[in-house]
Amino acid sequence: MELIIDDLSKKFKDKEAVSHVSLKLTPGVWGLLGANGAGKTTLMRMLGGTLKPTGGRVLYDGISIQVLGEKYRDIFGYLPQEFGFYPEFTVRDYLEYMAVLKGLPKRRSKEKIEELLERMTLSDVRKKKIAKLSGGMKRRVGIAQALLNEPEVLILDEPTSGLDPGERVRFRNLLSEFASHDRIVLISTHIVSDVEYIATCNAVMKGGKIQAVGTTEELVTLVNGKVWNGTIPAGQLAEYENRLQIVNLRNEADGRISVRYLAEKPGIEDSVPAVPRLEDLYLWMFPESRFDKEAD
Amino acid sequence: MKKSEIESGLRKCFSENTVPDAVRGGRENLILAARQAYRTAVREKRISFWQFVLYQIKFTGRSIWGTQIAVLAAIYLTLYITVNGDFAYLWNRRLPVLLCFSSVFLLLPALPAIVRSLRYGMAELEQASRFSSIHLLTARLVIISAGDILMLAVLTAGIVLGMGQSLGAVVLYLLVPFFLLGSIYITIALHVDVQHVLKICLAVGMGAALLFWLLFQYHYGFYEHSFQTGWAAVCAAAVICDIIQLRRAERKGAAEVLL
Amino acid sequence: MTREDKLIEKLENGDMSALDELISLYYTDILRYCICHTADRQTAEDAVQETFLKTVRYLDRYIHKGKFRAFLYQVAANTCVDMWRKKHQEEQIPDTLECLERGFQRAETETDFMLLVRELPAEQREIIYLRFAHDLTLREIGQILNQPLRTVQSRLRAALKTIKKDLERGGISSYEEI
Repeated sequence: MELIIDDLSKKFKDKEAVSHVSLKLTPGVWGLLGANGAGKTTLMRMLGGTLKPTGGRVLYDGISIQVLGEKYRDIFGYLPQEFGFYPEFTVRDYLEYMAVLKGLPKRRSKEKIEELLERMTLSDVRKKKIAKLSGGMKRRVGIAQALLNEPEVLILDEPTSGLDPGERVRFRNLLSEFASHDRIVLISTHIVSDVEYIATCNAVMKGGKIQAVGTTEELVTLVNGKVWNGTIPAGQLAEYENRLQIVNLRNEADGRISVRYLAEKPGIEDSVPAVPRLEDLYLWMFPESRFDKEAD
Repeated sequence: MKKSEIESGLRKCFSENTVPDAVRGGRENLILAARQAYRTAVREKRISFWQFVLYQIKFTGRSIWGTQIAVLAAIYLTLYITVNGDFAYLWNRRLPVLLCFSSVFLLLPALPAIVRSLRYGMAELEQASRFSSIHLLTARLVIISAGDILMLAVLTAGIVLGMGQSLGAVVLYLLVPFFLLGSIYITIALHVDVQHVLKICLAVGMGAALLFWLLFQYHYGFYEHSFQTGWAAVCAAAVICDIIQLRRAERKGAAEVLL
Repeated sequence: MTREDKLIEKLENGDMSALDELISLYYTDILRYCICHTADRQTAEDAVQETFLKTVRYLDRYIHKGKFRAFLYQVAANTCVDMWRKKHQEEQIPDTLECLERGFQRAETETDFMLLVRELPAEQREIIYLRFAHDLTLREIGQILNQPLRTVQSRLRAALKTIKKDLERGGISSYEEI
């Protein structure tokens, strides 16, 4: 079972959102890392067949998904970054509605909905209107809907965006469950910690192109020798922030700040090389996103 | 050498040079495996389109039909009062005009239903599902049409039997504009970017109402025709046209327009 | 309705023997195709197996389309490529149609088209093969190779022209000359 992305491109009127992307996805969890506007959502929409590419194609099991049509949508589950619901919908209504749209026979969908409500701990709110749920709960409803048809290809677009740290941790635990099934899971995110420990492989996307692909260990070698730890006096923080790409900082007891930063050569005296992490790679490739970084 | 000679030469050469030797047992095993694969595929069955329409009634039916009944009641009451009531002597011969206006209003409940998906952010997930947006639209149209047919039948019966007006006038001035305008709406819904569909349909509807009013003011002869069977054919043609358009959109998988 | 569509309809109604017939109808052709597009006989037979199983899995997609043959060959083409990639990940996919290289018994025809076809560029060779070994229509070939009809037409024309020129030049034409 493979999802092959073959030289995929999407050009809108004034820009090329996705440019000649090729990837081969096999069962397991894949992370798609990139800042907002890197083209991740456009790529995912093309994987779902809701957007027609301007070049290239997507093959599932060797057959183009355009050709497979509804047979592909049968095994496909999708959670978009933003999704809505009809205002009168309760959680139960919504899942029933989506089950009907996915063509599930009545009896099967009833069983499946019960099972998913249980698994996502939504049983207590099944009769509640979705509009009244918290962000984290809404996301869980979204994932439940994506799982209704037991998809073999599951695509999640920024699944933790807008969630508070507690909800995000819970979500990550949920996501790691999906890794054990025999399915392809693709998670796009600009929050590296979401996928750092559960993704077998990651692809980094920038400007519509895939810049790097590999396991966490492989990708991290790209920033070998570029990550440093140093300490600076607290008063000089602003000055160093302008000069260096600071990834993390921590106040020390003696009025100094210990700083983790990225640079070709050490920019602070007595800096010590640090063991690079995936997050470092991400910030090295997307220096402008340093202020989006979510605190762990 | 002639082209046909080359072609037959090629064919001969290929058939002589690439025929595999006797197939060993592979085919029997394959057939068994294929049967199993087919049975598995059948087990993953899904509901049919008409079952889908039936299930949609729970979600779409109630609100649509409710609105349609309300509109029907309002129109019937209006017509009854103006044609049969105290102002009958003034309005009686205005029935055709009123029927034309009615056709525009009877179609109004359908419009929000068609664009509902986009308005509430459901369109993307609907499109990614098995039936996707085009079948959902068709299902909604089926439900709306069922309501429409009932409405039109009740209205026609009410006007012809209840108010003693001519059937021909009703068909000509109520049904024909209704079906034509309906077809125009469907065409718009299938070919225009969905964000603009509601506005454009409303504009067209108001434009039609304006047209009827202008004809009423300046060219009353328009309302003095009598019915001919050709007009029923026009209605039928409009419906057939709708069905053809929907089928074509379904085949094309009109994803980007409906999103 | 084509013969395949009739069989598929019978199958939908529960008649499994229609499935057997459908496979038998194309087994030899697909086997020929896979032999010409894989490295060895065993791989070819595996490819045939996989092709038919995949096609069966997605069969009901084709009840109304009448494009069964093109679909079947498309699956076969992709399967053969996949099998090559699985075994030889780093190497480039070679020019296939190895069946043209093998020493089949030469018939006593005066003109050895095989040698001429072998000289053609890869895309033209494939089109000639699909057209004259398998009798596929140009439209079907376009679908299988994922090329527009116009491209297939022009490549076919170019290939036939080249062959004609080679023959007229006296190229590798008759055994008498050797």
